[in-house]
Amino acid sequence: MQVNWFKYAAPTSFFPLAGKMYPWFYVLAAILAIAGMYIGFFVAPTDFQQGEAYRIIFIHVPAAWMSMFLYLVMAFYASLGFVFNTRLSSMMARAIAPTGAMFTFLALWTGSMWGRPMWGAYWVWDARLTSELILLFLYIGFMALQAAIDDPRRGDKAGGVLALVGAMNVPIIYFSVKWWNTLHQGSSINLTRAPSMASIMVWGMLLMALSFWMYSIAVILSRVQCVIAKRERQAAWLQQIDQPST
Amino acid sequence: MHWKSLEEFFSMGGYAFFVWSSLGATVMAMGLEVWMVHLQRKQLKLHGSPNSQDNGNV
Repeated sequence: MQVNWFKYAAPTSFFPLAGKMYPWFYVLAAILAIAGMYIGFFVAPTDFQQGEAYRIIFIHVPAAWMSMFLYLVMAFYASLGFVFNTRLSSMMARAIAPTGAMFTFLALWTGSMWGRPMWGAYWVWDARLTSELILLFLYIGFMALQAAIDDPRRGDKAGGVLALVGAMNVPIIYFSVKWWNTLHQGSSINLTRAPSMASIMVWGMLLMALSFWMYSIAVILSRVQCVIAKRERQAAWLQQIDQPST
Repeated sequence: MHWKSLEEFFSMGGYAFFVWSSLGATVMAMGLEVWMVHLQRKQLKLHGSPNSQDNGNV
């Protein structure tokens, strides 16, 4: 069977699909958030060391995961844009950046709200915090660069280079707690060994992470429709200028 | 249920400011983002689920 892998790579065919899908992802995000918040704030027990302050984890860790994950997805789309020269890939990268920046900000904000009672400081220049701050600047730089270039395709290319080069920062964030002696604690959840926290806490955290993930898909699909509409509108407008006789 | 009273819940074991400002910032940031996309959609006249005729080629 012949599969057309590029069917939805055309903005015109992806646009209605995105419009149909995004409301459902909002619904999923809401359901998962209710379940996650319920477990996190009503079921999970008090931490024996950190008291109730540890409950920030149910927002902080999922937000930090999403901030890194979305950057990798954005860089992936940027690379697809270079390999296949598909406009939609670059549009997706554009649509992802604000949501990624939002989660990076939340990871930093909730982190400082957790750091103050536990470390005695809202901010320290340790490797984890600093590299996460650089991630925020990369997102902002990506958006500013694309906004500053009038030609959308040139903006796509320039932003794509920034996204790809900046992707190097993500493993640095992830491994910073291993590579350097950081004040920030190591990961509680790991693919290779059992989590070092109560399983009900892990469940709350995973549900919140899933919820943030679904939220990201919803808001990004909804935003990519705006990006497509703006671009295609301009294309139609250009066509009219270029070919007035047809 | 973990909490004995509503008061105990809101005080978060003395960490109320830190816990609730984290949650508040999250709700505000997400709300602001959804609202901004909504405004953009309104400006571009995109509605809930567009029919196939309206592919953004306005």
